[in-house]
Amino acid sequence: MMDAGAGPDLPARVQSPEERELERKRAELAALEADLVERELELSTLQAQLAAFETEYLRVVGRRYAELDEIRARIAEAHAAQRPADTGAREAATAARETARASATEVEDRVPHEPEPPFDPPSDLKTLYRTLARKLHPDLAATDSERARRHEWMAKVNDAYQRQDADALRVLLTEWESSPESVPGKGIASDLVRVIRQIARVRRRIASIDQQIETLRAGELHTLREKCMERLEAGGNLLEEMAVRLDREIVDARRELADVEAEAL
Amino acid sequence: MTDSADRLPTAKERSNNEHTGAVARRNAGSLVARGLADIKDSDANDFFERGLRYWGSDKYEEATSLFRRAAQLGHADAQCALGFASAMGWGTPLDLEEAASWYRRAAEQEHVDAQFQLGRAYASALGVPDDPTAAASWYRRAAEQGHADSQFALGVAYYYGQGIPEDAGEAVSWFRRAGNQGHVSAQFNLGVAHDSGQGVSKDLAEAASWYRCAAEQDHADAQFRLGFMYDRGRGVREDLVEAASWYRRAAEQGHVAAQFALGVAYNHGRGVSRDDGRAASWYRRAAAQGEAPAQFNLGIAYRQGQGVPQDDAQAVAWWVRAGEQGHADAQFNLGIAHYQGRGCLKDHVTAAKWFGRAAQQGCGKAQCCLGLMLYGGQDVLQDYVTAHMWLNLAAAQGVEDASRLRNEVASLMTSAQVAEAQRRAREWTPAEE
Repeated sequence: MMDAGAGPDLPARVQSPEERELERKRAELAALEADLVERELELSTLQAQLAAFETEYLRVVGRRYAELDEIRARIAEAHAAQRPADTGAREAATAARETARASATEVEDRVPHEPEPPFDPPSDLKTLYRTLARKLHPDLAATDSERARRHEWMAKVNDAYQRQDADALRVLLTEWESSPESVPGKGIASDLVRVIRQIARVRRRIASIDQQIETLRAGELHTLREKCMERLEAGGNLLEEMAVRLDREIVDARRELADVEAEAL
Repeated sequence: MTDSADRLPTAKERSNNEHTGAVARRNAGSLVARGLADIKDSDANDFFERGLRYWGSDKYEEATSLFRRAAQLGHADAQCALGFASAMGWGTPLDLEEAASWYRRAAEQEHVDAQFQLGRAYASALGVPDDPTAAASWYRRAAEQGHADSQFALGVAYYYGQGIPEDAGEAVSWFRRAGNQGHVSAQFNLGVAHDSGQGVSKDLAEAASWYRCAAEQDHADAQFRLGFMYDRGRGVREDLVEAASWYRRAAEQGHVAAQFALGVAYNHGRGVSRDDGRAASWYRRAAAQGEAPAQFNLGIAYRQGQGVPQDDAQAVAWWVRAGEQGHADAQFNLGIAHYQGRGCLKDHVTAAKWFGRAAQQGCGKAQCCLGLMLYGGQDVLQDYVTAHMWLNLAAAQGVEDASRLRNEVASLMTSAQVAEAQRRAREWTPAEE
């Protein structure tokens, strides 16, 4: 009689090929999830940095361009007024006024009087963001209706992060954990299909984030910010230098305007 | 309404970008672009200015390294300067291809000096393939923007048909644009064009006035030609004093024809008081540069002891230099000198050789002497037919005694020989050396 105990240990449960595949896909999704969260953080940080830099640039430099353009427009208009028959002067005045208007519009309402601090989030804010993103990222949702719900949440998370509002993030976390989540349907086959779709969605999202980061980095704003940082490392302040140069031009332009207006009298 | 307006940016950005936050601004405004361009310009300018300061104190390596940084930021002056430095090998290894490529980058930004240099590169195959068409087209691009050197170069290209169809009229009109800007070579060329009627109707007064523009800017050839216009009263009233004074300015710059002309002026007291010493000394300067008429005249001065100590050997030595260059009168004098043994050994064979060279060029006296030698057969082979031919040719030029000697030799010849000699004389044509 054979002793059953002497035979090889049988697995507790026989795993089907679908189950093995599901396990593999879940592991793959988990790895992608970490990647996705890091990319979201990177993109959100970059956006906030550029926005803060742009505001500061417009405050220090852009405002001066707008002022200079306004004076130049007035000079051109004074010239045109003195030579009513000169169509060239009239066209120049119209163009100068258009430039001044565009510059003023760009600066308007976006420029605080106080310096805008650069966006430099503390590490606990980043940790909070990662936690939230992992929990409520729309592309990690199991169902379409759940994903739609999560979009709203993720937008709120990004807003709070970019405002560096850790309290708001904590409130979001608490609220999320107490909110009901829709439960996905059961069954290996439907689980497998769902996970495969999730993987594809996460991959698309990562590619899209990479592309957005790439676009931002290639942009003029980023280039300008890099130049400022280089100058900062060399012990200079590029925005201040630009402001000084523009102030000289503004003084010259004001003098010219005074001359032109004196000529008119 | 208010509510939706407040929410609008968020909604808009979300629709672009799902959920990337309210502050995302992908496209920087025009003020950002403007600031970036200004920084680039001012950086480039700063590098260039610093480079120029080094260049000014002959520190070419520092200079070119700063030029390079500015050039890479697109600074056209720096690109042109770097092209120049590469072409000269100053502060950077000599590299004509690199030079041409920097010239090109500046030229494409409408930097006229660089366009001119690139044109020159194509015209002379400096770091680019030889391409006269490309040269002319770069010259034209700068010329149309008023670059005088390019206007001149384009004129030259039209004149010789280099890369563009030959057109003397176009050449003159580009020379005029450059000349009006004070381009001295263009002014000289305008003088030549009006002097000779190439590309423009002949107008000696206009020629003289363009020569004067260039002459006043120290163009030696223009000074000489203006002197000649005064000397001969071409386009101006004859004025020998003015002529001599322009000859002198050119002569002092080493212009060899002017040195000779000034020597002649001193020799004959034309526009200056006659001074054989000064004449001989100007002849000597021109002679030393190989000017055959000056060598001949200096030989004469030595023979006659005019302005120099009399010295027959020196006379012969200068005539040899002129005669070797084909100066017929010098060749004739050498014939005489060797015939007589004056200033050299008496040597009739050599005498006949020099007479022969002068005779071939149509010198009547030499033809007569050569004929006489062949007739007499002194140290040369007697040859009545050839003697008759030369004497006949000399007689036709009215050389004294030639016809008498020809008749003398004819009386010793058969009528067939005479006919042959006459045929040869008819068929003879002078050949300049």
